[in-house]
Amino acid sequence: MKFTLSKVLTIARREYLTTVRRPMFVVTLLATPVIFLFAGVISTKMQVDDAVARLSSARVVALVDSSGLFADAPLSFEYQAPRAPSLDPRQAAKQIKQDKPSPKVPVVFHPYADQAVALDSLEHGHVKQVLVVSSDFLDSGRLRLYEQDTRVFTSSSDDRPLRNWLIRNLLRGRADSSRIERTLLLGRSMDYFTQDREGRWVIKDDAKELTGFLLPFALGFLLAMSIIIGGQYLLQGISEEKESRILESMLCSVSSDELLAGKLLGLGSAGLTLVAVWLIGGVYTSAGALALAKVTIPPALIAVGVLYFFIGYLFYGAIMLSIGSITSNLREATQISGYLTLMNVCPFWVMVSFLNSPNSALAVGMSLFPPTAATSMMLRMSAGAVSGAVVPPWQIAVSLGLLSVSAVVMLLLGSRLFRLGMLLYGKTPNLPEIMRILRQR
Amino acid sequence: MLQVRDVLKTYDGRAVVNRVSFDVAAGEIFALLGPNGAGKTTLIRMITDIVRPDAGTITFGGHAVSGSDRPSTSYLPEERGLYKKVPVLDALAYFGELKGMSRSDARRESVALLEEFGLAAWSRKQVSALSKGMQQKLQLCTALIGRPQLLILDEPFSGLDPINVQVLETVLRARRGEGTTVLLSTHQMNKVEQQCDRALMINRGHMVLYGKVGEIRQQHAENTYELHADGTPQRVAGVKSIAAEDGHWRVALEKSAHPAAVLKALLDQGLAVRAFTPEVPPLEDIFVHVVEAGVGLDQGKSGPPTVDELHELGGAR
Repeated sequence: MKFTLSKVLTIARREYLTTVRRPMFVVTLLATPVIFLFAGVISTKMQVDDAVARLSSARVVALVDSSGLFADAPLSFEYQAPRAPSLDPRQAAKQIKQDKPSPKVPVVFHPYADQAVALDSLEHGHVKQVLVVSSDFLDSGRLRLYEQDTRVFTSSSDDRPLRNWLIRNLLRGRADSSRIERTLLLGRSMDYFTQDREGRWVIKDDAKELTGFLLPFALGFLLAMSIIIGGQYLLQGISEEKESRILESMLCSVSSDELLAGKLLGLGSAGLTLVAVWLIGGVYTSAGALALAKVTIPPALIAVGVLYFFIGYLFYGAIMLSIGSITSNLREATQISGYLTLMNVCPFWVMVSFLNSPNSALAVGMSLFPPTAATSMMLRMSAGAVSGAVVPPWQIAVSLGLLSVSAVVMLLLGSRLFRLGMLLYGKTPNLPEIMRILRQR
Repeated sequence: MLQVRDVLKTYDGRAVVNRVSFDVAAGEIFALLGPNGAGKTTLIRMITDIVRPDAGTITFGGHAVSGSDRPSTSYLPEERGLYKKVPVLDALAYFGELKGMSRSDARRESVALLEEFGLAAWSRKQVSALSKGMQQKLQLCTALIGRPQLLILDEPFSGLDPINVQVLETVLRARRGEGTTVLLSTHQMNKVEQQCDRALMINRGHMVLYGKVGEIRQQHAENTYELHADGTPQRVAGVKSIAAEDGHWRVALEKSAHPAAVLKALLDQGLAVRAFTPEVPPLEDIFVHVVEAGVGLDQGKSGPPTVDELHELGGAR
């Protein structure tokens, strides 16, 4: 039977409209961002708790005062740490009502004449932080804070005890206009240094770190989700069609290949619609933050992402199609497909490794292996876009090539299973029977 | 015309359709009969190009059914269903569009078909809101939309009330008048006798009966006559037995006996004979006999029937 585009489009339109009009589509559309918002709130709460815990522990700070302004300042003081806020409104109200002061935390300064010696102490763990006050501090306000901290998203409130001490001692006994102005602007010119992987002291950029994590995660997540959702719709549609036994009547009017193409197109578009709405909503709400962090998403990354979506969707779609064709009901189909879907998301399990070294053997291997290629490559490329680690173009080409060949093979097998497996009612064939179906004409 | 020639389909080395050949003329209502598991569904799936034969050819109007210029075909399978959560009109029009109709034409013909089958008032309701019988009618509409040249119906009467059976019979006659070829597979033998011109019966993949429905029945008549007469008939030469049945007599003749001679002998007894008519067995009895006795399965002949045999079997039109 010839392949008629108009029939493919008719099938695609029906599949798309039927899917997007389902209540579950709307629920997924709205519930997913809500779940992520909730996860964001929990994550922020954990960060705040972590910051409060750090502020509540005693610290020894190496002080390199090149300005001499703090020569006579007392070298220890007690800092009243904040309390961790509670997400439970009743608990929060109770905290306010009790008005119980939080415990005081000692902060001790060790003066150092030389920054190198102070940093050496830091590296040997004798002090927790090194605070360097520049010689022109009163004019420039320049401060440098060094800390050995490998965590991402450092809390900026971590320098609060130091700022308290600086303000208190800057104004102690002498409060002229220049000192008052400096206290008001204190912290604006504080550079925060941490050691990179090579042991060099570099300015820690919270925004860059945040986007370095968020961008690969968001793009990888969107790609994986769009492939999974499109595939799941396909699985659901085919299982329902098989259960309702409608296919045989349709195969008189359309070829199995037309039906297959229409379903892939319509249901893939439905999955893409979800992702597009989330993406547009995400960009719209976070545009300011992205601009502030000076983040630009390279066009090549988007182009390669779109390619991976289409080929990855065809690959997983063909697998879902095969599963839906040979299983006897949706429950069984969902169980089997669940394991395969894991392959698409497993790169997230080793995401930290991808972020730290986008060109490691593991990252390269997973981005070439077809079932994990799309998500892995998106994570690698996004991580590289932030860190500067370039993914060799040949690897992208080989990965896309392998995925394309796998998608074509899976589509051919899926098409055959679809045509003949859909007519097996009430029973799921075993492996030898599947092989027999594949050999049939 | 549908031409099936020497078609073979094997699964696991077992021939489920074994060298079957038959013709169906344009505008004919043709019955495809056989017990469960005889190979009817496989044969239909080959005609609809859902599965391909291992050997043999199937053409319609001179074109291979697997070719790009195949005629428009509709198939109502026995195992059938519908999209449940869509309006009735949309569900039907969708099938029209799949058959190559424009959207507006598909909707127009859908409205007419729903009207014809008494479903017009339900056109905006969801399919799931229809009763089983109404869904059955809607399924028939999905097969009829697009005015297919070849219409294959598997058990189309099941689930229909007598009124809708009549509606369907009327529609089938009308479609036949327009030149539509109808292949009807059913176990309701009375419907075959009423509706079909010719029939093919297969058993275990083999052709076991093929021909005009009336001729098949005649061929299976057993030289038995129904006698309506006043008085009690006595046995005469050439009569095997005479048995009283519900208001008449059942007279079984010997194979070599001539009915006219037997009738004359009965009249000679002084009987007032009102009727002496041959008993033609109903198709259902023939079906049961052929299947139970395994008729046609031990012919000791392999390979397809020759054209002459086909003509002999089927009384080609």
